[in-house]
Amino acid sequence: MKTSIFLVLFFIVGCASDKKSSSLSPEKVTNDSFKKEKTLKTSEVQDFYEGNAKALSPALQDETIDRFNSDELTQFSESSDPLLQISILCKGGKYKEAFERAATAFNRYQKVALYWNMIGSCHLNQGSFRKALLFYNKALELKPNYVPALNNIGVMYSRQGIYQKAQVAFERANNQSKFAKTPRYNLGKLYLTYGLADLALPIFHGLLSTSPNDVDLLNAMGTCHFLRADYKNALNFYEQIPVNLRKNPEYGLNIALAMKKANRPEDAKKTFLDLENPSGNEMKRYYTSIGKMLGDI
Amino acid sequence: MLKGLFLLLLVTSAAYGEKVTMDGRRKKIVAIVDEELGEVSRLARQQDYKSPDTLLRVAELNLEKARLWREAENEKYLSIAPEQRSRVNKTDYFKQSAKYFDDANDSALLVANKFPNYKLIGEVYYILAFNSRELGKTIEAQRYFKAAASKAPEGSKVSDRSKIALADYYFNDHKYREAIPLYELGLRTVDEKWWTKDAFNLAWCYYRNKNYDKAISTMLEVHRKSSSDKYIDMKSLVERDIGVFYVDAGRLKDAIKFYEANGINYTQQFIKVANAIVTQGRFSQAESLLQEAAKVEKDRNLKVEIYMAQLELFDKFNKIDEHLKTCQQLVALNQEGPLDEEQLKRLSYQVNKKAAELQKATASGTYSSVAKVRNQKSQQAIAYFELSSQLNPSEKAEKTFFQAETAYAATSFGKALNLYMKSFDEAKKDGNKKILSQSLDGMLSALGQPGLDEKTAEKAYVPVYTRYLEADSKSAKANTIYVKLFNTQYDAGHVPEAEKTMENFSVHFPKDYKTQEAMLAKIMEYYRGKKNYGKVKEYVNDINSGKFKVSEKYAEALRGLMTKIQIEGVQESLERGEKGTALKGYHQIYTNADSTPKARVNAAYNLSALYYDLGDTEQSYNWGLIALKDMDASEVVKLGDSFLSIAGGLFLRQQFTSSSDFSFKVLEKICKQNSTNKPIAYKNAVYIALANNELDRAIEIRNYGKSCEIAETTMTEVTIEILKDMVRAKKWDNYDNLLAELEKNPKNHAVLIKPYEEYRKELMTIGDAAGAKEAESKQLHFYESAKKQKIEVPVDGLDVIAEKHVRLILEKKRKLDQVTLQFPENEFNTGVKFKLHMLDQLTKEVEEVQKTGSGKGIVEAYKYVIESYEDFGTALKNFSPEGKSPEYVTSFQRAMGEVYNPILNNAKKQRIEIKKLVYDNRILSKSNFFVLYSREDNEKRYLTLREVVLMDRGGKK
Repeated sequence: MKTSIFLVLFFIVGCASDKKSSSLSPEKVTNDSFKKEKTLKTSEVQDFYEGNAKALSPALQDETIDRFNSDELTQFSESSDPLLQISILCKGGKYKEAFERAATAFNRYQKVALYWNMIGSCHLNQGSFRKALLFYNKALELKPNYVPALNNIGVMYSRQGIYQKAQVAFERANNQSKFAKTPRYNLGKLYLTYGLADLALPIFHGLLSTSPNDVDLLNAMGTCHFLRADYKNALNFYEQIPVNLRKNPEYGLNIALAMKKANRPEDAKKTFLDLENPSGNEMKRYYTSIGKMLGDI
Repeated sequence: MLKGLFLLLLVTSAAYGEKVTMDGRRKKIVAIVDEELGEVSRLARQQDYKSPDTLLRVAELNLEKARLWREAENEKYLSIAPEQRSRVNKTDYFKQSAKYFDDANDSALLVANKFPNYKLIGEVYYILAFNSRELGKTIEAQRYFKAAASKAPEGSKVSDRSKIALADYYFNDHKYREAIPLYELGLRTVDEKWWTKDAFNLAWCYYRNKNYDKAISTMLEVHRKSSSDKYIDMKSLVERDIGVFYVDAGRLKDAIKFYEANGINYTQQFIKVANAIVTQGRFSQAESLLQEAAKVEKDRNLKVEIYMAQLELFDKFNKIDEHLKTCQQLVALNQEGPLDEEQLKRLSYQVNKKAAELQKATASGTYSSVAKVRNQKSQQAIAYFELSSQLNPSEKAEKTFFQAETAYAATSFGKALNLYMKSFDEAKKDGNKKILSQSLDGMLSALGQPGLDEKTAEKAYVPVYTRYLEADSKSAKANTIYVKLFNTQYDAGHVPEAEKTMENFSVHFPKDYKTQEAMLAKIMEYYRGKKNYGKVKEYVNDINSGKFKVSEKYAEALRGLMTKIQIEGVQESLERGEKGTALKGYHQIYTNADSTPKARVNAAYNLSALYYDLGDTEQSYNWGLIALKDMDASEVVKLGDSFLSIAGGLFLRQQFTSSSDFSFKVLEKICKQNSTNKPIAYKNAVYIALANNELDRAIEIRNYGKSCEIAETTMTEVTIEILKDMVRAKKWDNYDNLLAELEKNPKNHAVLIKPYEEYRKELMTIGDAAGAKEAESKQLHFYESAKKQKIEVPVDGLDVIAEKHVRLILEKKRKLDQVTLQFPENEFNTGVKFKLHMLDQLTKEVEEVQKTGSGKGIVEAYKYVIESYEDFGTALKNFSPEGKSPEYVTSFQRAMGEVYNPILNNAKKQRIEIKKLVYDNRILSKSNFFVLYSREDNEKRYLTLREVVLMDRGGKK
C-alpha cells in the first residue's frame, strides 16, 4: 500500500487543549476553549525508556516494554510519562482506555513520531494490521526512517506470517541504526527460526554482551550453537538460564537434546522429564520429535 | 444801364438764393425781361450791332431769361420719377434755357470779339464766365473770370467778384495757396452777404497752408459777421471748423474759451471736429479732442456721442484696447438707459464686428506660434462677445458659445470649458437646441484635449458630463459619458452622486448589463469597505427586484459578495484568533434566514474546521458533510486539500468510519471534476474502510470510483488490497469478477498471480478442480505474459510459480520412491535405471525452479532432490540381494559402490550449493533445516512463543 496518501498536512496549525470528541454546544464554546497547549516536536520528547528495569529480558529495555510481563510492568506504574502509560494499557489489552488517553495527548504529541508509533502498536496488538501500518507510516512521515516504526512494520508482517517482508523491514531498520537493539534482536530471531544459525549467532552475541543475563539471548545463543551441533557451547549458554525457566519447553527441549548430544544422558533425561506441558501444536509436535530423539534415554 | 444790369443779376441771385419757384412770378419776370429784350434787341438791330452797350444788355437779358427757364426746366426734370429719369435724355429737358444761354453768350461774345477794348469788357467777360460756370464749362469759366478780373478796373466789384470766383475754383481744386491772394483781394472791397462764405473759404485756405492763427482770426471774423443779417450766417460752420483749427494750432484752451464765450457746448463741437478730422486721417488729434471732451462731459447723451465718435475712431485705426474700453463704457451706459436705436445699432455693429475679427484672428494660424498675441486677441474677442451678449440678451447663449469657441481656438481649454458650460446653460434656458448641441460637443472636445491641465479637467468632468446627459441621455455617446461621469464622481468620493448617475444609467440603458455591473461592483465594494452592509443588501435587493439588470454571472458574483460580507465579520474574528466568537458567528450565519446559500456553505465549512480545531470530531464531521453537500463541486476542488485534511484529521483522531465516509463524500462531490485530490480521496476512502474492517464498504467505494474516471493504476492498486482482505475474510463472492476486471489489462498480470493462487486454492477446497485448473493455467499464462512484457513479478507470485514446479518435482520424487529395488537382477537393474533417469529429471526441474528466482521454491526443490539422491544412494548402499551367496553379495555391494558413491557425493555437493545460496540470500524457507543440516539433525528447531518484539522508542543507542 502506498503510504503517501495520508501525508496531508493539517490546515489548522496547532490544536485545542485536550478535549474529548464529545459534542459541544456552541454556547459553551469560548475563545479560551481554543487555547493552545504547546505542540511538541519529535526532538522534544525523550525517545527512550529510563530506569533499571528488573526483568529477565532486560536487553532491549530502553527501547521497548514489549518483553516485560505484567509483573515487570508494575515498576512503571508511577511514571509520569503519559505515552508510557498508554503503551502499558495497550500491552495490557486495555485498548479503549489507551485510545482515550491517546486522544487527550493528541494535541501535545501530534507532531511526535513516537506517539504515532505507539498508536500503530496499539492497533497492531488489537490485530488491526492496516490501521497499524497507517499510523506507523504517520510516524515515518514525521520522522523518515524512524527505526521503531520500521521495526514495527516488520513485526506487523511477522504477525501476518509474511516473514520475507518482515525480514526486509527489520533489515532496513537495522541498516538505519546499527545500535538499535530491537531490530537486530528481531532479525536474529527470524534467522534462527529459519535455521540460519550462522547469521543469528553474531547478532545475539552482540546483544548478549550488553545484557549477559537476558534469558532470551542466552537461549538464542545456545540454540545457535545447538543448531550448529556445537552442543558444548550450546550448553554453556543454556545452563545460564535459571533452572526454573528450563522447565519451559521453549528452553528445555533443546537443552535436553543438547545434553544428550553432549553425552549427558541423565541430565537430558531429567531436563526432559521436568518439562512443563508444551502449549501450541508446533511445540507439541516438537516435544514429540525431541522425545523420539531422546528415546533411548 | 449797367447799374440796372447788375441790380438785375443781384436780384436774380437773391431770388435764386431764396429759391423762387413760383410759376406766376417767374412768368412775370420773364415777361418784363422779354419786354426789355424785345426793345433792346430791336435797338441792337437798329444800331447794326455796333453798340457794345446794347449788345451787352441783350446778353444780360438773355442770360436772365435762360436762368428763369433753367429753373423751370429743372423743376420739371426733377419731377420725373427717378427710374424714368434715368431713361430720358436730359438735354431734351433743358433745350429752352440752353437756347437763351447760347443767345446771351452769342451777344457777349460779339462784344468781346468786336470790341476788345470796350470799357466794360470786364463786365462782358464776367457774363461769359458766369454763363460758362452755369453751363458747367469750368475751364472756360475760369478763363473768362480771369479775363474779367484783369480787364475790369482794379478794385471794381466785377474784378473782385471775379477774383473771388476764381479763388473758389482754386479752393475747390485744393489750390489754396493760389486761392489766398484772390480771396484776400476780393474780400477787401466786397463786403456783402457772401463775404462770410468766401472768408470762410479763405480761413480754410490759411488752415491748409498751416497758417493757423490767420485761419483762426479769419474764422473769428466770419463768426462775428455771421451774427449780422447782412451776411450769410456761417456761424455753425465756423463753430464746427474752428475747433479743428484750434486743435491744429495747439490752442485747445482758446477753443474752449471761444466755445464758452459763445455759449456753445464745446464737447459737442469737439465731437464734430473730431469726426471731421478723422476723415482726414488725423487720428491723434481727433483722439485728443474726444478724450478732452470725455473728461469733462457730464451729459449722458453727449458722453454717448463722444464714445460713439471714439468708437469709430478706434475702429478706423484699429486701437483694439481703446475700442474695447469704449464699447464697455457704452454698454454700461446702455444698461443705465438705452441708447437710441441708431447708436445701439452702431455699437452693436462695432462690437460684433470686432468680436468676429478677433475670433477669426485667434482661430487663424497667424498667431499660432505667438501664443501671447493669440491669447490677447482671444481675450479681447471674448470680451467683445460678452458685450455683444449684454447688448443682445436674447443671443446670450450664442455669444457665450462664441466666447467658448474663441477660447478653444486659443487653446485655453479650461476657459473654453467654462464658457461652453455657460453657453449650454443659456441655450437650455432659451431652448436653443443648436447652441445646446454645439456647446456639448465643444465641452467634450475641450475636455479631451491633452493641453487641458489635469486639475481643471478634474473639476470639469462632473459639470460637463452632467450637462451632456441633460441634453442627451440615450445615445451611444451618452452611454460612455455616463460611465465617465460615474467614474469621476466615484473617484472623487462623491458616491451618492455616482449612485444617482448609476440609477439614471440603468433607466436609459437597461440592457447594458456589463456597464451596470461594473458600476454596481464599485458602489457595492465602496459600501462594503465602509462596512455599510445594509446598503449593500439594498443593492442586492434592487438587483433581485430587477431595478438593476445584471448578467446571471454577475448576480452570482454578487451573491458571492453578500456571502463575503456575511462572513467577513466572523472571518475577522477568526483572524484575530477569536475562534470562539467566530464559531458562534458561523452558527448564526448558518441559521440566519437572510444568509445566502454560499454563506451558509462557507459557515458549515468553517464550523467543520473550527470543531476539528476544538477536537470535536463528531461536529467537525457533521458540519463537513453539510458543507460538502451544499458546496459546488468546483469549490470542493479548490478546497480539496482542506477537506482531505479534515478527513485525515478524523482518521488520526481514530474516527475511522467518519474519515472514510468523509473522503468518500469528497470523492462523490469531485467525481466528475479534474482534481489531483480525487485519487487521494478515493484511496483514502477505500483504505480507511479496509483498515476499519469495512470490506463491503471498501468494495462499494472501489466500484463507485469507476464512474469517477479514476486512473486504472489506482483502481488496480486499490483492488489488489481489497482482494487481500477478501481472502483474509474468506469472502469469495465477486472475487473472480474483480480478478477478471484486472486481468483485462496485461500490465496487471504480474500482480495477479498471487491473488489467483488464493482463488485457485479456494476452488480446490470446494472441489472445483476444473476451475482450479483454469486458474492455474491463467497463473502460468500471466507469468509468461509478465516475462514477455519485462514486468517484474512480485516475490509472492514467483513463489507461487516455483511451487508449481516443486509440485512436479514432488510427483516425480513419489514415482521414484514408488520403485523398490529388488531382485531378480534384471528387475533390480531396471529399477536402478529408472531411478537414475528420474534423478536426472528432478535435477532438470530444479533448474526450472531456479529460473523463477523464488528463494523459497529453490530451497524446496533442492530439499526434494537432495532427499531423492540421498535416499537412492543409501538404498543402493544398503541393498543386499536376498538368497545370494555371501561372495555374490560382497561382489555385488562392491560393484554398487561405484554407483551409490557418486550419487551420495552429488547429494553432498547439492547441500553445499544450497547452503551457500540460502546464506548468501538470507532465504527464509521452511526447508532450510533440511538442506542446512544433516538428516539426523534436521529435526532441530528454534521454537519460541515469544514473537518478534515491538519497538516503542528509539532507545539510548
